[in-house]
Amino acid sequence: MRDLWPFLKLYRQRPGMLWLGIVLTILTLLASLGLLTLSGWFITASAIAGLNAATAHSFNFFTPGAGVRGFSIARTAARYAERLVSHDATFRLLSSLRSWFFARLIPISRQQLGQYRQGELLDRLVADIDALDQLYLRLLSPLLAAITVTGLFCLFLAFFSVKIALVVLAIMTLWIVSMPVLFYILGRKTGESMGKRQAELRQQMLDYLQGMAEQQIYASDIRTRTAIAHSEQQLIRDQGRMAALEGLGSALFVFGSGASALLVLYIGSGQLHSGLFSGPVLVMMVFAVLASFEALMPLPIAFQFLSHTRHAASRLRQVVNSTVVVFPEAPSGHPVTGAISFASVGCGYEEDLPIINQLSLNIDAGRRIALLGKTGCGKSTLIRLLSRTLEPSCGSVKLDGHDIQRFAEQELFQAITFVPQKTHVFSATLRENLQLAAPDADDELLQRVIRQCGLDSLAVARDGAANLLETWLGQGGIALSGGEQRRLAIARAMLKPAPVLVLDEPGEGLDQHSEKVLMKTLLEAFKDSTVIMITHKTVVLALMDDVYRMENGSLTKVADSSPAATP
Amino acid sequence: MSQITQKQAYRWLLVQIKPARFWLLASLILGVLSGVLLIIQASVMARMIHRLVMEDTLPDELSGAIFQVLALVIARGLCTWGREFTGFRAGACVRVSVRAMLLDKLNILGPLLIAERPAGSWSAIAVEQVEELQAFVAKYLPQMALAGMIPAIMLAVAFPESWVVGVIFLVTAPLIPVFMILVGLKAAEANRRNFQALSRLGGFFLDRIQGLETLRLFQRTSFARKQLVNASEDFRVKTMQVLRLAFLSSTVLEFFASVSIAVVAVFLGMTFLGHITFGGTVSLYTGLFLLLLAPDYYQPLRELGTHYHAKAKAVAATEEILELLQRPEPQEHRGQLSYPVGQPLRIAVNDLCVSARIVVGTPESPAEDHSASKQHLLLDKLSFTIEPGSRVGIIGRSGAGKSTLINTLMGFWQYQGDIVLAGQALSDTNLSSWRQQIAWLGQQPLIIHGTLYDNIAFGRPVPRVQCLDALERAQGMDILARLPAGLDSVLKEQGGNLSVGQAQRVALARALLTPVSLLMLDEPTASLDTVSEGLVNAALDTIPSDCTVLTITHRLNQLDNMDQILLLDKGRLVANGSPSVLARHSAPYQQFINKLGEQETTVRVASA
Repeated sequence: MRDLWPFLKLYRQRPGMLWLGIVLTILTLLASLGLLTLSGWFITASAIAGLNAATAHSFNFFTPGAGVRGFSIARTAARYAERLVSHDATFRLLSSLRSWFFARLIPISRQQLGQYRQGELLDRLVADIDALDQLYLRLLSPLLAAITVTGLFCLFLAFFSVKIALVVLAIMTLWIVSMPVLFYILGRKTGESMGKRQAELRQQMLDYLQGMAEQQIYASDIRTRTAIAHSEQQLIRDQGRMAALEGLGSALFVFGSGASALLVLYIGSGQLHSGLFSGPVLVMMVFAVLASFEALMPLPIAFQFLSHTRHAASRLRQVVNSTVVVFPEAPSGHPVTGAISFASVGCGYEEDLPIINQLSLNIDAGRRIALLGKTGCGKSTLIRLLSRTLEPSCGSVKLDGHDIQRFAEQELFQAITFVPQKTHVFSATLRENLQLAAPDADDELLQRVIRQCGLDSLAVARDGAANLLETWLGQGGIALSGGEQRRLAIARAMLKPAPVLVLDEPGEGLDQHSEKVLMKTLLEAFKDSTVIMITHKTVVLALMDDVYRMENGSLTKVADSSPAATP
Repeated sequence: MSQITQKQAYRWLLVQIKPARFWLLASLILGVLSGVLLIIQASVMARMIHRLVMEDTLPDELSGAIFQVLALVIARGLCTWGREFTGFRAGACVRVSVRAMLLDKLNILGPLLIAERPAGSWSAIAVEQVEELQAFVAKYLPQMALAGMIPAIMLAVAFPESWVVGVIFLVTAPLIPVFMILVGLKAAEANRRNFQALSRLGGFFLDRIQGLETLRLFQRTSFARKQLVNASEDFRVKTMQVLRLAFLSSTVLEFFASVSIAVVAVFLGMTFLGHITFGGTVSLYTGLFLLLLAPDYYQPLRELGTHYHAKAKAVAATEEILELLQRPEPQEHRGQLSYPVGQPLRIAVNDLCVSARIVVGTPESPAEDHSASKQHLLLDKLSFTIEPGSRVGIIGRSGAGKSTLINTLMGFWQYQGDIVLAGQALSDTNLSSWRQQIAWLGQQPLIIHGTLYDNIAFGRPVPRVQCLDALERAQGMDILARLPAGLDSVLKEQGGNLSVGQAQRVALARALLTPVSLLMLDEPTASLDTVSEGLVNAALDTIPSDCTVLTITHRLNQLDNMDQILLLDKGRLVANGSPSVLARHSAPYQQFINKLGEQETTVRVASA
């Protein structure tokens, strides 16, 4: 339960709706119980009264008759209201849960979050949040309702027979306590392995589809298909166990309600004989027990999947409890001209495996430098230090002579414009995708940047949308090619002038000619800024002042490739 | 793309349940049996109460009946459990068969179509969407039959007991489906929209999380959070509007169930008291029996309502599944001749055309209609020959058709014209026998989830020594040394324990594993740094001389070692010959080379 606690606490934000939902659930159950109970009493009492003309005449049938009708209407109305209220509450929870999670995610250091960036894990996080949406509807509300109804019901029975009330209380309490425990334990192991199997199947499927060309060339198609079928069978076996458990839950319910009614009938028949209560009361109690089990019905299945929910919660908790990057609240107030210095910086993702070691580099304001080096040599790590997605383990990174840790978040990102290695194209219009960089940019400016970055070919080549800015990109819209994504990233950068520009492999996916043209345009827009560019292509080096090569976490200056040096 | 309607989807689904029909039948029988047992149980209990209350029977005399009820309750429990089990098996059968259909289809559509969308979106259909069929087959379908049968049986039992109660049941029961249809049509639409909205919201959330880094770099995180809240709020308001209506259908059911219990109870009470006489006299037994039956009379219909969700989900999933299954299939060449193994591989290509569209036509008239196919030619009348063992460079600007040419030779594209391999037309050749002769290496190395051995062997049953040998020829022994468990180390996706350069060498080892007659390389060093590039190139130099190598490349320094160069421009072959001849006589080649050279000057400056 400890894992679930932080999420349950979120419920406190909207207590009214949630309580109302639970109260309505209880009312529905009670009305349903009342309907059958009263009906049973009424027909038995009237049958006995009807044996004798005098009692038949004096029997007050108005009150119970009205009661029966009242309960039937109440049950319907309460059920309708309950469904509306609880769904509304769930949607509200969904909204606050996601917004809460998103807010918690923002300050987490990229270093920690890096492991979740891969598509599948991210999908799982989203699925985990979905699992928590159901916590209230499936677990909390039925459990509280079951407890309350049991209490009230046994109190009611105690008016007529304490013995029967105690027996029923014992049975129902046993049910409420043992079913969750039993089904939680039975469902736990299979539930866990089911999750794993599903992930396995998904992974295999993904491998199969991504490698379809290789599969067909190397004729390993049939073998892979056999492996997929095998995983599928294993998943089905686990699911089958879960289904069998679900069946067991329903079977126990059928057995429990029937056997309890029988037990009450048996005990009650003795008490009836000894004259403790009348026949109608006995019938009423038997019917009531049958009906009361409705309250206990949802429990097995709710707890069968609890371990699933709990795991979801614990994964999410792990994420939100990761280390966060702390920025100072107050702006430092230092004006930034763009001088950057790394002083004996060391850092790495694992402690004993430094990627950058004792690295020092001074870049004067307005200087343009390129970083070359092979994949994985630490180039990207170096610029992650600048966006503070990674913190140095020793040494310091300074901007205009001040440690970058002293700059407020807003301040730092206003001073540096980044073109990251991967461009995220948001599922939104082109306008929104660009305004990300400049919320107040007007259409004229946007159109100009679009032309400069060659994004105007987007619509011409495609459906010729009337208004390019309204073209929907990303999921559900136009999928951009690698080159177009780079153009978008560069367009964003052009909309956000800053004293420092940092580019991570800006030319990926572009042919060499376009890359050169685009870089010239971009550097023209940032002509007074400090520029740090990571690249492993060498096409644009002529535009840079200094070129460094990075190897084993340290830098060596390669050449002054200033125009004068070009032969 | 043809629009798949819900009706079509539903009808298709009903056909797909064939393999599960025995399980479904078993589930149905158990359901009916459970209903019959319930009626007997109600009767026995009513009789017991009647005797206790009306006939002053001693409790001890009832022990026989008590054991009867106990047995009935246990039997019903078993039926319930069995229903769940058989229903599950039915669903599993359907899922397995639909999933197999999807994978077969994807296999036929081939890698080029799969590459159109991220692989994840295809696997989502084959994994997640297929799972959505489970509840529909396992629960909804049997329940639909039961919702008709159980009330019918109960009616047959109720009428002889009291025709008035029978009439009450009979009148309310058909009203329920009528109302369900009236309200349900709206409810189905509402349900569908609810799902759409929910998945769109999920997509929105995922999209913003994926782009979190970008949002942070531009300081737009709080804005995105506000957007997120607004979107969910908007979703809630809209969904609640439709749900208000959707819930009416179940409320109607609830209402009828409640009211008819009330009416039955009041009718019986009044009859006992003598206020109502038209129904004849009834005993307490009859009254209790009917009252016990009343809630269960409506129960199957109510349960059907709870599974309605399952149906809506399954139909929505089916729409996506069908969209994939109904895609036109490329006409595979149906050649059945085996590739002539042992013959020297001379490739002769004549008037080869490849169009961008997948041509849908009958096998008799494959794309005779030129107006459609001429629209966009990826390859336009290519003719050339390649001698066995040649080193061939394919060059050209991006989009010139270089990859298309390679894909066509591998049999992934339909083509017009002739491709003759070792004297036999590709269209007459059995594709898998041809593919045994070739190996391929793309720009992006593919690493599958598994060990280093799995990644090199790629499903082919080869000894470990052979894998090691391939890895050595691919210059990849340093990778082996770095991994903790050698060939058995599990490789992780990009960013895990392999760099791109290392991954590419693993992929190269895969391509070099078995001797082939033709090796095709699609810019194998495009995503590599210079050191890795050097390693890969060194590995390529060791390829036996009888193997033909086709390389797509952008690197000038690689061209000099080629025997033959094919220069493509907008799908046409504009230069073909040895590099030295082309350098002297071919103007397009000279232009292209000069441009490449210009770009590479900077390279030399930088590494000076």
